[in-house]
Amino acid sequence: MYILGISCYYHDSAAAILKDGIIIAAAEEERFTRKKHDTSFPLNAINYCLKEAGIMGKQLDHIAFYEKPILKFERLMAQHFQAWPKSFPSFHKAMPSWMVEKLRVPKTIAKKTGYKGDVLFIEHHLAHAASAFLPSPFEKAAILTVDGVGEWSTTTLGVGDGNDIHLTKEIKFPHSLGLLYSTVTAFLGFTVNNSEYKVMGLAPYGKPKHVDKFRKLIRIAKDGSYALDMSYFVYHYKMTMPGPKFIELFGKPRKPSDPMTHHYEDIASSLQVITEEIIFGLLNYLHQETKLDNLCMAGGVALNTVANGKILDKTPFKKIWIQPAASDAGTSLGAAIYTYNTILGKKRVYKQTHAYLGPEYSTTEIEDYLKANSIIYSTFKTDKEMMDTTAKLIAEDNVIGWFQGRMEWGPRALGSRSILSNASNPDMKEILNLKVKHREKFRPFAPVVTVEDANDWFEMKRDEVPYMLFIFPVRKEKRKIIPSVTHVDGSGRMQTISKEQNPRYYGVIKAFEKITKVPVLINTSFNIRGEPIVCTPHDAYRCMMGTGIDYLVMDRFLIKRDDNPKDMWDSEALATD
Amino acid sequence: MGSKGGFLQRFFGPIYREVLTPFGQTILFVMEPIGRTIGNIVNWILLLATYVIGIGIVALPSKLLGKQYLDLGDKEKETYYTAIDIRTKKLDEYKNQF
Repeated sequence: MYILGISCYYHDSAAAILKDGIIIAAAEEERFTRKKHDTSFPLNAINYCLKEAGIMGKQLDHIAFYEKPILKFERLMAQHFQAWPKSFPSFHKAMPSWMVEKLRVPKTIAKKTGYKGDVLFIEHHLAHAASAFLPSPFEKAAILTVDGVGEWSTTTLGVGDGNDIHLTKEIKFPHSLGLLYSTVTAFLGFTVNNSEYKVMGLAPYGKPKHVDKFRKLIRIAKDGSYALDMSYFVYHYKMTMPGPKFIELFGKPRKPSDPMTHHYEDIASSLQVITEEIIFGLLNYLHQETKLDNLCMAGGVALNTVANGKILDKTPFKKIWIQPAASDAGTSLGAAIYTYNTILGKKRVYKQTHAYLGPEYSTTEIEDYLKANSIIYSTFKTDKEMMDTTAKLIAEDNVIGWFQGRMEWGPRALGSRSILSNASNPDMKEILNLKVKHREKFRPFAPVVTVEDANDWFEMKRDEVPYMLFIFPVRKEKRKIIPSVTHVDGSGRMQTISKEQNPRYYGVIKAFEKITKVPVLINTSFNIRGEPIVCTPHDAYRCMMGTGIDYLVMDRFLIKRDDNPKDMWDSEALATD
Repeated sequence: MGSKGGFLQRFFGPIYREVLTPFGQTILFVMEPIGRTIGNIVNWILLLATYVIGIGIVALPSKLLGKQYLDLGDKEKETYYTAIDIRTKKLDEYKNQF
């Protein structure tokens, strides 16, 4: 039985496919179209899923869509009824896409995929909840989903038990923790639905001086529920987010080109404090209601890795599982798996243990690409030679483009489409920024550590963190050894890796440890700022040649930048938010 | 051969290539943005009419009667949760978009 899940038209369009209850492929559309957070119908991702399954669209048993469009449209109308006549600009901007595509989902799906059956529409937060619970290792768990907004819900609480999910409480639009975070993101001069993680990275530089101001615009009840005072916001009827009262309270919004001052850092820090307070409040209430030890989370706010790292300390939950594609992309997986396990009542046979669900290219395909483009390369005879050489190059402070196996599902590069470098070099952050990433200086780089060594280097509260969803403190005595992945507050957004999860990636770290005695590397996504993570061999080669990446290790092939024509394109000129 | 371009090309001979094609391209170059602008203006007018009349017909009386479509968080409450009961339904119910 094949079930395809689709999410699109808001942000992070994606598709995922199940074969007899097992996810066999999942990918975000942006990786194929090269448009970050692409919102369009995910035809490329769907075609990839169908190709991986070896079927045509008409052979699908079910297609599940990640929301109920008419419920969402109803909310949109309610916004305009409420705000009329002030909301015309947003009405003018939004309405054509509703008429052309968002209210014609079944027709579009039938036309583009050839699928003849009925499309199943799963509520947005239910799809999030399903993506968090059904692939988790738990038989029973409490579920929290928090994001910007679905149809009406912005936060839901519930329980997953066996095949069933029961959502019992919600907080409704316009009261949204996700949209509060996005409002501050916009206020700080970053792009909404893209740069929220930058605000989180900025927070440790500031002091939480403005927490009391935030308390004026958000009410938090004793049971953890919350409501925003909408007189401070305009996102419910305008294309912008902070309102005049918000600006009066926090001062002039920062323009993207303005310098980052302590004032803005303090706002980011205060927001993080409030965000954590709300998340822990919701979770403590959820635990009180469910009395369960296990917790599953999804929704964009579940990507707040700083808060995630503190959950076990601040709440009674003992185990957590978060969907690696916690944002809207993950709802495609959620809708598909909900259809199989819950609607059709089929046994839960899938436990998600890795995020390598995207396209892969065979050795022959990669070699054909290299030959066809007259690229100069050398070939490793064995995996061991490949891993040892890569480790040696990293130890010599080279920046390595690492392209191996299936592309990652979700927003993080986890060792398939990564840039690897030496975490021990104190200048490596600057080198990476200069050569490749062109990032804001305040943003940290993330470490990857072998799972058996993780506790020696980080104050871990868990056995493993394979999806970079938790931030833990770097052990004090180790901070000087890995300065390039130690954030200003002494933390690191770490990934642990085991041999079973990714043998080559693990092997490189082990080989690096043999040379340097450090089982930690910098792992950052293989892209430049403003572009999605690379997908194909061509994307990887193009990224290397347009940046200062020194070597590209693609399957068993080593490509040295200096051996090939340089300046294929100017990545710096294209680096955007 | 049966295309319009093919017929015009045969009918006008070299004049088609030397004069009509560049002329047509120039016209297209000028007309395309004009067409797009006209389209945008028409679109704007239609949407404004829909907004003023379609939305206004509900919104205006609602405002007069004090009807609220969104809870704007202006009142303190003991809880801001809304109780819901979303659980497994029959397959057919998921075919609805609402």
